[in-house]
Amino acid sequence: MNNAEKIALLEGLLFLVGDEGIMLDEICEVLELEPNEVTLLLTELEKEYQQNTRRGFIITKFAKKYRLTTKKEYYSFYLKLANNKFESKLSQAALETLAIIAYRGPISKPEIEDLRGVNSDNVIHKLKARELIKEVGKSEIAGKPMNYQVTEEFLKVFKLSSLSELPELQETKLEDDEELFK
Amino acid sequence: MERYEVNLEQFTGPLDLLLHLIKGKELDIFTISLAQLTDQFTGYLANVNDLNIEMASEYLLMASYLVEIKTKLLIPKQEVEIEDNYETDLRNELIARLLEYKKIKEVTKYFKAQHEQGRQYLSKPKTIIKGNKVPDEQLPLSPKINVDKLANTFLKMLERINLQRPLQSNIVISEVSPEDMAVKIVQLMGVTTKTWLLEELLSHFEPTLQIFVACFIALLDLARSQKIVIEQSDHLEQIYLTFQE
Repeated sequence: MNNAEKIALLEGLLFLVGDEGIMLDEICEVLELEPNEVTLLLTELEKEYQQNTRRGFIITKFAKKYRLTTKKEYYSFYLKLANNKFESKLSQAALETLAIIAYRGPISKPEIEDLRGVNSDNVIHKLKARELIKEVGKSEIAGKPMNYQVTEEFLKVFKLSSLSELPELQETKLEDDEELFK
Repeated sequence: MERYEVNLEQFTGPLDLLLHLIKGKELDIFTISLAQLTDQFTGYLANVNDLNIEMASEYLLMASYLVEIKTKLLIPKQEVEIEDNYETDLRNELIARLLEYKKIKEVTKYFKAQHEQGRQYLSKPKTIIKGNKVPDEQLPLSPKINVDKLANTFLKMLERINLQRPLQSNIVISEVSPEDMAVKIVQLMGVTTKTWLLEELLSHFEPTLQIFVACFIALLDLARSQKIVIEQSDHLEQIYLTFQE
């Protein structure tokens, strides 16, 4: 196979795996090539998509996977196909809970509820159903509740390659050493 | 007592409301007067038009906690070291909770923005290459079915159904019982020995809400009576069904 054919094969592969994405070593397995060559092919294809405005695809990365997606600038057009009923945004409660699990995970429901000051049954259930969080073993705290952690799907939806990409939490500083209590 | 535009819906919980009250008064978290804050908080609750008990309980819990601290503050101080510490501790505990919550609340803006971005890159579901029998070695020896995954497959199928009308909470008398569905599933699966993908089995049925619900219950029931085995390979994350002779 020449280079052009390898690129075509890679493009087809990315199309097939769709939103699941594919890891570098899995690509190597299918293409029967070494990782360094596959990395070069990926870069080349990526460049092709980015520079050639006649192409509608782009390669996006999440976790350690490559995914073939449409370009962001045409999203509003594609939205016309959407069945709005299922295009649900995440509520403030869902975002809060996700943030807690992303930063503090693995973390259990009682601990989440402590932080939020509200019952979080519903919101946890919804996040689980959307596969944004998953159960990862039992917590050590009393009653041994389930611990939750964010998923690969979470990384995909929030366009993150790993949790280390998350911004630092902003501490509220005590202004000029005020007395804590009056 | 001030009249507020009172609506609990806009808050995610009592901590959120407390932060709002502090911010609204342009107070500094570290120097808030707890007595004042308690009055505001309970005043706010008193103005809520229809306090639904489900939601209110958490707010009332916070209110009682605040009132407790406030009482401690107002009781004439005895010259006792311990009392002093106790009160300071309660106050500091509340401040610590508020600060911790504030950090989370602030970072949600980032998540919201990322989500807005991320969802604009669209991809398609993975293509399942037809006629692929799943090799045995890809199925774990002690398969553990993930109910969420099963439910999700159904949800994804449902998404493809363009419902004629919005879902309402009216009672639809279903034409299909899970028992009938179970019979149909057994008829379909019983003639081959192959392993089925859940989606593949579902594609044999008319995609209506009632049928899916019946199918879902039927599958769980068949699995319970060990007529079928539901398996999920961690590796592929797909759900497979096998008919037991």
